[in-house]
Amino acid sequence: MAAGDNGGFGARLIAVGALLGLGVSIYNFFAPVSLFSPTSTIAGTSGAILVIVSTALLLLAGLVLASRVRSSAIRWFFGIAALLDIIGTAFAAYLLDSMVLVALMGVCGAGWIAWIGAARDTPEPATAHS
Amino acid sequence: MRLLLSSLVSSLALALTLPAAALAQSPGWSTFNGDLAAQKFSPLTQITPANVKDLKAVWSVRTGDVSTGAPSTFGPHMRGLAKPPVPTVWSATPLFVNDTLYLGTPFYRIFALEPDTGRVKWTYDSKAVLEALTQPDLKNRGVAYWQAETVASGPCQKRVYIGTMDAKLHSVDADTGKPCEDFGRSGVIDINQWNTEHAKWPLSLLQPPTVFKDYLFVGWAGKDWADAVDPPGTIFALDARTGALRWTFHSLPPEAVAKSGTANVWASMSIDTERQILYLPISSPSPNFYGGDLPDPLPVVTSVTAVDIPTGKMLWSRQLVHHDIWDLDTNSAPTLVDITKDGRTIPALVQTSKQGFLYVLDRTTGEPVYPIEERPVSTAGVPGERPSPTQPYVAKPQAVIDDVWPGVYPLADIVSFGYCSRIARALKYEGRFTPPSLEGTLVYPGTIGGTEWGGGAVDPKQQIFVVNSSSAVQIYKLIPREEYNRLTALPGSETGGYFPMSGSPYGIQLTTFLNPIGMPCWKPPYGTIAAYDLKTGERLWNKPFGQVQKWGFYMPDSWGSITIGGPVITASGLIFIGGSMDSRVRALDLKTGEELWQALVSAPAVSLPAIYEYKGKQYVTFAAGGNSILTPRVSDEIVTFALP
Repeated sequence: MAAGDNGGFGARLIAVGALLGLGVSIYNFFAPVSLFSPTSTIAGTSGAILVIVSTALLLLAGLVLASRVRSSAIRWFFGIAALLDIIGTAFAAYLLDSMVLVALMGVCGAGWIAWIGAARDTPEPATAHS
Repeated sequence: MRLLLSSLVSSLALALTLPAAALAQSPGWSTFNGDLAAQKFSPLTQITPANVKDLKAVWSVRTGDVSTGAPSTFGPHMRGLAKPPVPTVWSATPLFVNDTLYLGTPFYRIFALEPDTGRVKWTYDSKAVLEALTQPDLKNRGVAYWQAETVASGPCQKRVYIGTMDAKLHSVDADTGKPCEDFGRSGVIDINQWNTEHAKWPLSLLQPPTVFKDYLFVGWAGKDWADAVDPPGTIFALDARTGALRWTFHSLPPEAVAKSGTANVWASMSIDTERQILYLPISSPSPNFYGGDLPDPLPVVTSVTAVDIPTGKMLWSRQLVHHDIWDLDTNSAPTLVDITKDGRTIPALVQTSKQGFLYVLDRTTGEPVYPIEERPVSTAGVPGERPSPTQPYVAKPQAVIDDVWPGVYPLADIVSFGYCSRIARALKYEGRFTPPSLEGTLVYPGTIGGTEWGGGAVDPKQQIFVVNSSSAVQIYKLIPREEYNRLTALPGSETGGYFPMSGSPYGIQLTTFLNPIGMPCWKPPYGTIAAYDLKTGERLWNKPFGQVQKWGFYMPDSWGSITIGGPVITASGLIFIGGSMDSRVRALDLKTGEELWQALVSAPAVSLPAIYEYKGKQYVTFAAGGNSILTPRVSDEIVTFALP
């Protein structure tokens, strides 16, 4: 799979979802009431820090997957890591009562499915091993 | 019904003696428990189960009187900074009376607020020493209000009282916030002047006095678990105008004072205004976890006791725990209500308890309305101990918690690699009232379990009683004196740690049964709320209540939460309650317990809400102060809700 193919759309979706998720998480860390969850607060908590870190890592993974990195091993490593990150962040967001972040992880999940679909459909370029 | 009629007659009689301005007063919340019967019931019906979902915060005020324990958090009014700083615990019931909302703060200031806007009318600063002289936190449960039977012109015909941790009781004019010069010395009485036996610490006035006619009934809080011999638990009846001592009531007989102490009343009290009876929830004696040196019997300790108001003489007393070595203080004002049972109207009271039993008694005699039976319990105490062979059990109404401990929670056990089950196997447990031991006793319910000082609420017409409770498992381990004295660096807090009980043969290690990551080792739910039909004694419903929040993560609803504070009921069929770890305040349906509304406040609202009407609009006010037992999150916010 090479950058610029259909996998790029999925990876960019992951990156956008993670970027928005990072923004929501930072907001929730500082705001007295969580975004769109008027009866919840996670301000200043370690749970909020956890999802800030996890969405930042997911953003990194999305950017790597959307980039022109050609190493198959690296791409698969970041692909699997992104999936675990999405699942973990969504679960944490659920427990943190941040349904916006759960929804954004749904977006990232859709991006990941698009990325993996493209990865399976796209023949490996010969240059990838050269 | 008799109580209701009595209240109406009393209200009418009072109204006839008051000028027109006083007659215009709105339905209020004039005492810590809403009224002197501790019913926590509001007759207001504007907010209903159908429209409560529309309830919105209409104003909030920050008093500035808050501390997390870090110096940087202290507000501008901080004086006499404790070293090291201590956190605040704010459990004040707001009072609505005299068309004003009155509040005490944990820095021992009084705020008088406009009830519809929160605008500050005046404040009063007691200038109390802000040090943890007895309790580990700066703590306050509010203020008390008195007004003359015939309100004349001049100052201090209406007064607000606040107590302090250093045992000072202040009286100020309710309209201006100025000290009442005729009360004690320039508006202040030093209760510690009567602290004459084993005066190791001041008699802290954290709970506001109970006011009836021209009496102030004053209990106090002390420093538990530190010593075997403490100040004895005397109740003071004072003149509301002058502060002069009218009478005292002693819970300990003279022969016990040399070896014990406390058995005090640190919670609120209730009053049968028609019969002029004061009801005292009396706590356990010191030392709290070893009674081998106590003279037996001590029939008035850990009891609910009725006292004749004019004379101060005891009318009856019912002990709820014999030879209490678990610190199961009677910790809330009994709720007075007339019950219709088998076609007969019984003047009753309902006493909630840490042990989870609901004691329903005839309040004129102290005799049980539903049977209380003596059951054999474990007598396997430490050397020197003489546990009671039986304890009072209440089969009906069903206790608010189960009779046996819930057992190890598999999830807590798995995530701690079997820690919970290993510890549980090593502990001694022979059912309720297993005595503290050298190897460690699993205690259920423990001193932080069952129902706390918020007590319950009742709808007097339907005779439905509602109470929240906590399911907490603790471990009591007695440590022989020599061994205890060799231990160093012994931290202790309000809920756990090492405590010396100096002067007794043992110190104690008291811990809540948590796994190494801080998760309760016992099965949830950790907190519930239940409703009972007092006519039959049957439980109508029982549901997990509140939500645990740890590191920001909300645990499942079905786990409930340990709660501090209590419920109030409205005539429209609603229950309002805070108290949960998650800093949410809620409205529930009285019929079903279903949650109908919730709102987020800045810290757990570990207080009783107040419900009042002002200028035709119904308001619900919560003090969101927090308590370090639940979570480190503390606040100084008072929030008022109303319909748009």
